[in-house]
Amino acid sequence: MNFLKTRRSKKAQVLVQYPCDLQLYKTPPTEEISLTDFDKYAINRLKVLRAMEQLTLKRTASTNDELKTALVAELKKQSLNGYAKLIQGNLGDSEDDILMRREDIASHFILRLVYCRTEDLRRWLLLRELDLFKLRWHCLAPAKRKQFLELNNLDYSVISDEDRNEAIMKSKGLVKHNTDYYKVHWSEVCDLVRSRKVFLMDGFAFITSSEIISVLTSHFRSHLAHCLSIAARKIDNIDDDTRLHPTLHNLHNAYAGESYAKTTSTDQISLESLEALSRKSFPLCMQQLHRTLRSEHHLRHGARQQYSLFLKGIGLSLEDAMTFWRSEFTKKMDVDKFDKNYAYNIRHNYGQEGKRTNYTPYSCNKIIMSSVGAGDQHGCPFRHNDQASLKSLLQTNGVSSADISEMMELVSKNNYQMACTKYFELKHGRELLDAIRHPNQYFSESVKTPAGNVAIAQTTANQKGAKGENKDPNKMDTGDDFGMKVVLTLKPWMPKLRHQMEKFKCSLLQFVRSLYMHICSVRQTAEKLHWISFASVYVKQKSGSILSVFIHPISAYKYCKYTARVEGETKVKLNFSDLKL
Amino acid sequence: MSNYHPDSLSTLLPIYYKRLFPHGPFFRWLSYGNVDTRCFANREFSFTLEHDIYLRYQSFSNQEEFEKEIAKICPHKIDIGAVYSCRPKYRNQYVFQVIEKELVFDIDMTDYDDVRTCCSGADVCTKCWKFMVIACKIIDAALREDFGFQHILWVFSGRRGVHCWVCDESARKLNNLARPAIAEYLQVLSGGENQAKKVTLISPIHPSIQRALNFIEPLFDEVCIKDQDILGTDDRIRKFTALIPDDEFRNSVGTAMLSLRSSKERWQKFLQMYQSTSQKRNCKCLVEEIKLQYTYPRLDIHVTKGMNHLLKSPFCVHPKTGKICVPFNPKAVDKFDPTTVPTISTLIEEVGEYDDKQKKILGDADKARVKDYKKTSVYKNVNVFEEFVRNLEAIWKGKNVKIGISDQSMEF
Repeated sequence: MNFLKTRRSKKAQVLVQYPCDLQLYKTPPTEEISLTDFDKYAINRLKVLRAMEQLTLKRTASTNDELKTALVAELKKQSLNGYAKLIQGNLGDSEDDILMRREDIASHFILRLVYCRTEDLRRWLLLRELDLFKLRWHCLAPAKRKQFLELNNLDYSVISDEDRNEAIMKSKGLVKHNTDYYKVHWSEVCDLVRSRKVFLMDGFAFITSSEIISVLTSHFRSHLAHCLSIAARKIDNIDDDTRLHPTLHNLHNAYAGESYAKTTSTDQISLESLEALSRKSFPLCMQQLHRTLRSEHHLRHGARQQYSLFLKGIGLSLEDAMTFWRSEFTKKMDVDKFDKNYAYNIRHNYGQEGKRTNYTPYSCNKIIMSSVGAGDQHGCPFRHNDQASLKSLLQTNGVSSADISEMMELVSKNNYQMACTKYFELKHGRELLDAIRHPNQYFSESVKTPAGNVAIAQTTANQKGAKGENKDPNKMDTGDDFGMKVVLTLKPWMPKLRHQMEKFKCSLLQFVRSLYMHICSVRQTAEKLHWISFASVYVKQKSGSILSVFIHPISAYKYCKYTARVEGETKVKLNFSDLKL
Repeated sequence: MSNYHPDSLSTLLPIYYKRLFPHGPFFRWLSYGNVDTRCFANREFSFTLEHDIYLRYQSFSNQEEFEKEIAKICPHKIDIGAVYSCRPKYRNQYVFQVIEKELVFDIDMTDYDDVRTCCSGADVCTKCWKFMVIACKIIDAALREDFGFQHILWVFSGRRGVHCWVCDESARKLNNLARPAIAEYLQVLSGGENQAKKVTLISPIHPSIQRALNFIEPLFDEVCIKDQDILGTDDRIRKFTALIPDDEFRNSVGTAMLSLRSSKERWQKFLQMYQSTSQKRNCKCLVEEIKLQYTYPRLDIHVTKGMNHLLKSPFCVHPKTGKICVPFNPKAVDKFDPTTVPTISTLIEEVGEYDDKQKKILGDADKARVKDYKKTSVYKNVNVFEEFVRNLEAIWKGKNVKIGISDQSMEF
């Protein structure tokens, strides 16, 4: 009996304290929560926010209703039925439903503690909670919406008919008859102002009832941002509590996703390899900036930020970055001017100037959402290039017209990241588990792609793209990969091979590349490469780097068989029977 | 007009700062009625000295201190930053955050390089200045009518652009979310280098853009067709036709244009063809979009977005041109001519000439107490500035009185 009584009183308590399903989370919970619940609540809410993040990244759901259906399905899959119900906004009066309301509030406040520590974490939580809030508002029934607005003192009154008539006249069709309008200060509906979706007069915005969400989000955002910054200052007070410590400290590591702010020392890339990498492993957005920089010897501020932080993220050291930018910029201006106007900026990005923050590279989301003004070079090619220039960019990168139209299809549906993912898969000949959501993720995925695959994708691209551009008929330039030139020299005594080469150009090139990459992957220094000499692979060395690989075709054949035998599988997938040596 | 030479700047500046720089109104402006003394004292100033030596985070407690420092170091350039929570000098000892900052806009002629044909880069002439005239009218009207701002100061940037300072209290207090929003509201051209067509309108056209078009309408033919001759060469025609989304229509416009000779005929032909074409599905507002792309203000929105962005102070001397960064009245922007803006050498000569004349008329005995700037051609610009400051102070007057009374009662 006692049990029932406490449960009932708890229910009543929750109802009194939190009379509404949706919350601006202004009052923190004061009741007791068990440690197991503490952990469970935090993890469950995080799962919801992660699911939400994935869905928004994929952009498959364009309307709120689609998003709701997708999210509810996902949550049910993860057996988070309570949240599924909560989001749909149909919590009833049953015991479980009321407790769910309690969990919603408690978990929100727990996550505030977990995510208040750094600027990045705070931003992440803010965006996710904001998305969740918007969706929940969308799903809320009109009566409950009204209740929510009243409880939070946000029930604006509808403007009078005279006011509306004046607005109708002045707004030239933007404000309509037969609709109720509310008048709010423009800074409360920044997102509507930004996109010019609202009529402004004398500092006031005229919004409809469906646009009230814009006011709510700005309240929600500023309130949560404020609370998080306070929490950050006070978090030390509860850090001593050993019971909470593990959850509060480890949870965000496990779930915040990679920020690409730091590069481990092994990931360092050298300046020499930059050019080759830019062609092989850079996403289109960065490749485009790289090319512009090379040809114009200048990038504007937005482009500089986007590109230099990316380079930092893939492991270009500050010294190398300085050399790189200086060498380009000084083709157009004197060194003095560069040092004065631009060097600071680059050091700043590396956390060496100003407030010394180690800035994180831009994510796809940030790049896609960024505003690109006239003359600006930054942005996402799939989002900010017009059709014609995107098409020609893809063509020069050797994408077939069938694939291009497929990508255009994705772009027209605003699936920019999916188009980028598709581009990756074409270039690398393998499928990705996750969609591309960060240029640095593209890069690291590209670098870790097995050698053979790249070769195949690259050679096909080369074959389609630059056919017959070789000046010396006896030399086949395979392009500089990995910063080194691989030149396949055809000896005069190979007439038969030459004939075959023309026919099977692709396979042989592919072989050289694969071979070369294999050499790289076993990390042998140039001197030690003599061990392969039985396969007649000669490595010429000049100033410490590998210059060219000469191959005797028959030995090459042997070599292939050798690797196949030694390693139990053909790491270099080649079919030399075609060559009929 | 006397010739200015950059080498003479260092010798002219001490006289300029001592006799001509309007320290009084300048201080009154930035102290905003002195309701909150932090307004001036915690304001960041940055100075650029000779040989590009850069001094950031300077601050002064009052006009006297400011004047003294200026007279001492004679900066080649003064930049105004934000008001911080503590004196920028002591930024390492206390919490150092931006409290407020005017909402500023920077429009630079170089951003028009792809639509202007008369000059490029740092150059500017009366033809391309008309872009600035249009920009000033559009932005000024939007700030006043849409956002309800009243205290707006427009300043010539000294060479090829204009700055706009919005000084209403609500504008100074805008946060990091609102500034980008207003900047992007006023940035109709979007898409960078890789997008030919930068304006796409949705119907109905937003009233703010409609108003902009009303400003553009009477000037478009003169500025773009006549002065800039935007359809004058094959290359320019190609640039123009790239804005037409429909392939078929674009090609027919292209060929039709090549058979005509002048920009005027070509533009007329285009309008006529557009009227009669049936392929309007993707481009219901094409004419408006084209006009906007050629003439809508091109803002450097980073300047507007950031709270702590520095901007050159009014009444600075541009080191290269020697011209004074003079405030001007946006209502009379049509009459503003950047090529006749006085240089520092002109002003100093004018002061000398005036004094000489006075001496001849009145003799040595009488020293007429005329303020030095009143003897020069910068007179009317100082008046614009003073009027702006007076309007600003009008709002604070009531408040000042109240504070005065409560202070008195405290004494008892």
